[in-house]
Amino acid sequence: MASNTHGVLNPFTIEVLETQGGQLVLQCYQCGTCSGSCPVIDEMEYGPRRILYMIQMGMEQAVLSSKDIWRCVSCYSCANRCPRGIEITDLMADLRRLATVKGYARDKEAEFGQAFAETIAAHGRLFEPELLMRYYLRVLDVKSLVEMVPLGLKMLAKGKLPFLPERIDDPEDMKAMEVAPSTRLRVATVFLRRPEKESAEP
Amino acid sequence: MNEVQAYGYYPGCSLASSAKEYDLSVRAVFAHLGLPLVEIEDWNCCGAVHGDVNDAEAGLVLPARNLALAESQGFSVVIAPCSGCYRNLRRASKRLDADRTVREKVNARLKGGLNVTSHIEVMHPLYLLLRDYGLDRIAAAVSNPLDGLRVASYYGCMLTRPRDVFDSPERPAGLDDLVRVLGAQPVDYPMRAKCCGGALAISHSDVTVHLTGDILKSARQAEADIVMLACPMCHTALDGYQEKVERAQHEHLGLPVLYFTQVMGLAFGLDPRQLGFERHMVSPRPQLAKLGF
Repeated sequence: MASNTHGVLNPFTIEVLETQGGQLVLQCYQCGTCSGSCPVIDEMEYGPRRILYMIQMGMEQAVLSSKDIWRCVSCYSCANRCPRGIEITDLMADLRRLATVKGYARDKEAEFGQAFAETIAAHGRLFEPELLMRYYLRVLDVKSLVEMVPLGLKMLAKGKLPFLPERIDDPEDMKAMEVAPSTRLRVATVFLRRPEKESAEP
Repeated sequence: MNEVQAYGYYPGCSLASSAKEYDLSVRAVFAHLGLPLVEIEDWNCCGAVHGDVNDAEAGLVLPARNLALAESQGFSVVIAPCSGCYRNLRRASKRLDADRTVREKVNARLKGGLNVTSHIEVMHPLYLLLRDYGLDRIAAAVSNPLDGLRVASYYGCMLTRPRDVFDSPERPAGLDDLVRVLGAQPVDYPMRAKCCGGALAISHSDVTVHLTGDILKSARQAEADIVMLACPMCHTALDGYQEKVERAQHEHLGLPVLYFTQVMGLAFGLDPRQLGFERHMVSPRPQLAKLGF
């Protein structure tokens, strides 16, 4: 269907045009307002202006394996200023999803996103200690974990980290809604589950 | 029914844990002004910026479940104090209003007989108070003007972006208007609407430390006594990561970061013990003592 309307375009360009954030990607005329507004441009390899051009050129591998899409802080500065009305910030989220689904994602932030989605799928609400456990088990980044310990302890002391997860009434609802691939964190499920909920399981 | 229709309150995950002081102070301020808040029963996480990492539609299903719960519990207006939740819920509400096909698909994925069938207005408490309650009436509730307190208002990103009807995304003014009405003094500084990098606080914390440091130093240079904000993610960065900033940049900042509702509570003469100040990483005690608390 889409290939008929965009006959001469590269399949990757068409794929992006079909996302919510990428609908206007062909409108980009390379003014560079987005890259000039980006607070993390120094962290990026290409920046949003060049990413948009690479999408127009159909450069799937370069776009989806670039670290830029994982450095985006979702601040909406680019989208707010884009004279062509391109939803660049939402597009970055769409690119992160394409990179994940198509197997390009290698960044630590990709692992954080998965850890977050899994925690939500398990409880329906966020439970920070489990999120962090899932994340650090995924990336096996001991140095960062150790650097987080002092702040984590202070947050515990201030009552800013809960010991038990808050949950929606029936966490099975989340699984049925398929908000994330259901992956159990064994360590966490052993130690952190509320006993009364466990007995309700088949 | 009550005389005033209750607002559906969506605290979100942060206000239930790391940002309990925001939750306490929102509830205290709304109660003081006679605005009834009723927590939406069985609410779930809005997905933050990760709800759509595997599936675009799931990014709408998560906030939509909360809209459906609000509808089934009789609320037409939902209050979301976290800027991220506010953006997600408001955006989902707009998309379900605008596109019947999307609404049907999302409704089909909701369980437990939930459906979104009517319009739910999602509001941030700041702009609900400014627009619907009004600065005049807020001024009338001030019993303890915060004379001499220099406040750097920090807006962050998702409170005003993507563009919406309530404030300017480039030069927002809502928090500063509030500061004036509370008897304190707004300070001007260039980083008021720049990003704190909170989204990368775990995976690339050096980025967060860098961006947060720029904001704190800018507020410090403008001789602010406190930073005032309206988002728990920004608070975790500016308050929780302040020590990391000080260590990375070899500079003492000691700049307390308060929620706008805590500052309102002080000006309304509420008991500071109700407002959760002991939960901050950077203690605001010296600044509060100067004000006579």
